[in-house]
Amino acid sequence: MDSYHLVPGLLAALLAAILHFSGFFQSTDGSVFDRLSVRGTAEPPAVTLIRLEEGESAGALVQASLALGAERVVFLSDPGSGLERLAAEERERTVIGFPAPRLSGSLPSELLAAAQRQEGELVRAPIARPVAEYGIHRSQNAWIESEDGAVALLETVAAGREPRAGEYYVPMPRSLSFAQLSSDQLVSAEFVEGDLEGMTVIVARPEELSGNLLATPISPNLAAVSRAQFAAYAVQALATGREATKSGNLAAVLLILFAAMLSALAAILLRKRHVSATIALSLCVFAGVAGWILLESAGVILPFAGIWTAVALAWLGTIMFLERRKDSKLESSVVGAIEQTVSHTAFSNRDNLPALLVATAEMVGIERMLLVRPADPLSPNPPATFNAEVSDFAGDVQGELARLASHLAEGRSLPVRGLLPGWPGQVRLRAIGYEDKPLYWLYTFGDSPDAELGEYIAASLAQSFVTMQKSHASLSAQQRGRRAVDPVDFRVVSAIGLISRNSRQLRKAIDQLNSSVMAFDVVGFPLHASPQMVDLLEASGINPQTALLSEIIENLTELTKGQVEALLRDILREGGEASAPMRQIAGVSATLRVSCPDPAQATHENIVVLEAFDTSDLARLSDLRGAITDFIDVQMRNDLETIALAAALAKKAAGDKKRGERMIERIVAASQAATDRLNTMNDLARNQPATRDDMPHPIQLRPIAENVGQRLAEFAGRYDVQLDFELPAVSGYSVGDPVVLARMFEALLRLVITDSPQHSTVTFSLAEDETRSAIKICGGFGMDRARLGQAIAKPPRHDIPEFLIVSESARALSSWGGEFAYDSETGKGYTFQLSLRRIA
Amino acid sequence: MTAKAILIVDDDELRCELLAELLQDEGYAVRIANDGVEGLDALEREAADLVLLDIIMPRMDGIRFLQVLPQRIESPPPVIVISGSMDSVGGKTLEEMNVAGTVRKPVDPATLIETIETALSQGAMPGD
Repeated sequence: MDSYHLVPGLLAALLAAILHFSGFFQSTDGSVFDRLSVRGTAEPPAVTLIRLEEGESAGALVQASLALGAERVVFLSDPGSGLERLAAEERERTVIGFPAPRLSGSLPSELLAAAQRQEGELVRAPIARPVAEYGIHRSQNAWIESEDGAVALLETVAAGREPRAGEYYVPMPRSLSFAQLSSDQLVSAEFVEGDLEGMTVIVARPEELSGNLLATPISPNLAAVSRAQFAAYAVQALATGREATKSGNLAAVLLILFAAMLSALAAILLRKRHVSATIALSLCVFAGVAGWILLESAGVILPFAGIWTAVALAWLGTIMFLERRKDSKLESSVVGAIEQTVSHTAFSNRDNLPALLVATAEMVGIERMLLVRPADPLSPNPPATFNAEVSDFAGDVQGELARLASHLAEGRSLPVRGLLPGWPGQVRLRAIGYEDKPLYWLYTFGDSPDAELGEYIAASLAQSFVTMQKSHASLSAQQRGRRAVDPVDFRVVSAIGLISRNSRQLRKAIDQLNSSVMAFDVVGFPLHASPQMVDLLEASGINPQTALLSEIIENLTELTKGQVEALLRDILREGGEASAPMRQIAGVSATLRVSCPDPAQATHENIVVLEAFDTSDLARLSDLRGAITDFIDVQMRNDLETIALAAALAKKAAGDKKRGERMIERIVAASQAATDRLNTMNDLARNQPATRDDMPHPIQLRPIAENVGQRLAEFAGRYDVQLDFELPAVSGYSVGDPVVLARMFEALLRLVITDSPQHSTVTFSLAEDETRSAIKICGGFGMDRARLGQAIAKPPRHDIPEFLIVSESARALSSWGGEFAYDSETGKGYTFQLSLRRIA
Repeated sequence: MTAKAILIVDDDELRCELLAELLQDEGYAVRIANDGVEGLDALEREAADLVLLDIIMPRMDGIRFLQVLPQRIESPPPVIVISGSMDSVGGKTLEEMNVAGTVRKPVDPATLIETIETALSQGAMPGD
């Protein structure tokens, strides 16, 4: 975790603290206090309210109250006369309030003098209006400043106890009610001694009990509590020690900070947002419960709103901060990916797109084209033109374009008639703009007969053009140094779309290569394999999805594990390439090449490319060369021998003219035979396309059959079938292709072997006469001839590949002048016969 | 004195004719067969003192002929193989296949006559 992840939490705490100290949360905290305090369990009342009746003696009232056990008698206002006769002890327990002009500033000296407490004298205390917070009276000041220091207010003096802070909050439990008596009741001795034991008696005039009402937590929406009642609550709270004070500034700051940090940490450490939100919410609930307990037990009011705000802001701020950082990272990755993907294309400069469209359109055979933006009038310099000008338009261009555009479906084109009368062929219109930037593409393939085919290409071009524009618009804002209009999510989607499109196209391009290619991550995991490589690997029993590079090389070549590791080590360290001949798979000779860019150049974006070059053609060419050399060697020796013999005999025939002429005829005949053979070879070599895979040439069938027999020995063994080859000791020369014939022999033998009873024999015989070589394969259980014919004529492509091989090989055989025949009967077996031309 | 009989087994008719004329000039009685099967039949019909054998032939090649010869003919004649570049078949040299001599193509008439004379002087096919 980076420490600056906590910055949003700190800022949230700072903001919450500022709001707290600015009084922004006063109302909220007060409301919380109200809700908690009005529900509180009240102590027994410690205050009794006395209504001072007209004409009642204040002194008698004091004496009566004290006689009933009252602790103190408090007059909210000076009752005037009647107190002079009180004894000194009684006077000291009698408090008389006098109004304090204001709380701010100092108490005037005359009032201060009145408030000076003197032994044996009445106690005089200033009385102040309770503090209102947004109209609700829930707190009171404990004292008032004067020139000589703080002077306790009436409630403080009446309770005989000072609160912890200058301002204290007065709990007003609903269940608490104060007895309200009239002075008559008290003085007329309706009560017995001890009824007011320990209580504070607050004496108020009738108007003080009914007038000047205050809105309090008990009745927040109604001014229903009199000043005398509020004083009673205040004295009750102070007397019982249940007054509440706000937590100190430092404590408030620390609490807010602590809560903010916890919330921020939850957001940072818990990745799931809903979990961290639950934690934050729990923190708020915990703060409420803890605050309530603290209020009840210690009378401390926590900065509830500050804590809650800090928790919420810290969570939200941290989440937003993390999201922003994630977005930034994502954005930088996106930009990097885009630049990497498109830096080499026209994408990096959208202005190039029309020019590219023109170039491509020309290449695909579009004869004329115009790319125009709808404007009135049309710009004389449209974004792109080819063999055309804006002046080619005729008629109401704007109207016609708008009409056509309204009928244009996405990705479709419409024929345009009359708008460009000078253009040849059918002119078509496509909309290739996006959103609020419409762009119309008008083009014609002219009178080309391929115009219809060209429409597909035009559709593809248009789609590509639109996609590129959209991607560019979405992605290029940041590249241009502007703040991106789209949120990063949208840009990511665009980038992914563009990159995956490019990736798809690259994969397609690789797949189009007529080569077996596979790319690996530098660690060795496969990235992509061309279909040919997939086929090759599957033919070798390797899973192209999971195989590692080293496994593939080891499997495809004769290299040992150690050699493969050494090869890869060198390639990865130094870059470059290495080749190794592949094991022959499915009759294909190939070379495996592994290449890797120089790591110093490619840094961490290294890949390894594996390529299998099919060297069958080279091998085939080599075979062909060898076969022709052998053939010429053998046949030319024969012909030269014949000529040499005839020449020797002619020499001996000196004087025998007739014999001499006969020998010359023989020499001519031998020469002619040699020439004929050379012509045959010439025909074989030249009358076939050089690229044909199955180009026939002189071959010896015995070695081909022997190789096939060796390859199938194990296969036949698995079926408990014996293979019996009847071959000449030495083959003459037949016309054919060894690879095709080997595959055909193998396919036919496999078909028969797999359908042979155990312990049966499958025979392969080769017989050569003067003009033909005959191959016969017999055995197996057999099937209905018609079914066999059907399978060969229309081979099931995937189930049994042998039929497909036989079918394709039979066609090649026929093209060499060979023949293929078959017979089969259920229970009697198969007979396959091949006949090839033989070179005499 | 009766002329020695030589059987030429070769599928090239022109060469057979010239070889026959060459050998006849040397005083041999020459017969011709155009493949291994014909050669064996000819030997069954009438014995020969020596066989001149080509290797590559249709129906039955020279190697097969050498293999079948002792099975078909009770006292097989010596065989001289006229071969091209071939000097072994199936891992066996021609000598190991009991031939009296080999003549490499193209045949030098003098060498051929000399080889024939040597083979005839040595008698029947070795190993019998």
